[in-house]
Amino acid sequence: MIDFEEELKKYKPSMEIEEAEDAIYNRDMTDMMDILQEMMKESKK
Amino acid sequence: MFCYNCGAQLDSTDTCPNCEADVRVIKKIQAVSNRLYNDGLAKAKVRNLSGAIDDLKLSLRYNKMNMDARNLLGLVYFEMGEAVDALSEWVISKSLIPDDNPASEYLRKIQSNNVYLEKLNQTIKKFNQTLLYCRQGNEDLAVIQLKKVVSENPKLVKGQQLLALLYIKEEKYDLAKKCLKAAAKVDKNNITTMTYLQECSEHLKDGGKGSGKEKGDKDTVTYESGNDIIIRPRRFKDNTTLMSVVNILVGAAIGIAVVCFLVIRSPSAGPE
Repeated sequence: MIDFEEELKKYKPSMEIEEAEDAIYNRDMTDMMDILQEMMKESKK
Repeated sequence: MFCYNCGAQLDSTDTCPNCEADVRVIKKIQAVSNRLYNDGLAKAKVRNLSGAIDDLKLSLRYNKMNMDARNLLGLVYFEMGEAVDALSEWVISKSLIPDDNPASEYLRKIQSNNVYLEKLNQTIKKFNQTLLYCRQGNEDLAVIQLKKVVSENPKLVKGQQLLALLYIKEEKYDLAKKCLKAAAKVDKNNITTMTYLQECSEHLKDGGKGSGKEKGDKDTVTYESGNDIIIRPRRFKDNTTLMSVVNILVGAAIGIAVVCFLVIRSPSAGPE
């Protein structure tokens, strides 16, 4: 049996066009390559 | 593949031909990213868009410079009706890799159509308004608003799913199933869609409200005709032809009676 309230919590508001700019700037773009480079820099120190 | 240290193109050796940095791990990471992209592409081709999104996002966590993965992620978002997410991915793709990037063309096509962008924004605002109505308990308003949203953007998977959820709450399982089929057409194997469909099937099998099947112990039959739900009495006979004939005969009999009693005079009512 589906619980309406629990299911409703899973739905998040969609991003509007005006919010896209901030979302892009605030996005965390760190990937494995960046982490690996950091680790290599730390190991060289 | 390119060296993480100096950006030079790598060859088949385990060190960079330019700066001699050890690139074994980098090559493995890029290989994993490419494999995840391939998996995402295969899923996108069979319309398993939710699965494709998971693979492509993971591919980008390994290597954010994977242009193909990012552009495909944008396309998948766009297909699912999440156009702003799509635009975000293409903008990022274009800023990371400005040259020879198909994302430029995607952005140009969308941004050149201001009417489409405005309509898109309005649809998003309506969907967000709908969520607010649901949380406030105004489900009737939410259904009305959401119907407009999905009519303007029928590929918005989460819009179809939310409308189905509202119908399930109202026990309108037939209508819910219709929305879920529309969602499944865009994104097959979506877990939420499958879960809701299972719920609808269980209730329709048990003879829930609006099942559309004939019920032996009920006096009405319910079925769909296009967008309408028809409810008619179980025992319905169309005998309009017979009734027309009967009406004509009754009318003729009344006419004859009028002639007999009013037009033909009795002997006692003669000219004397």
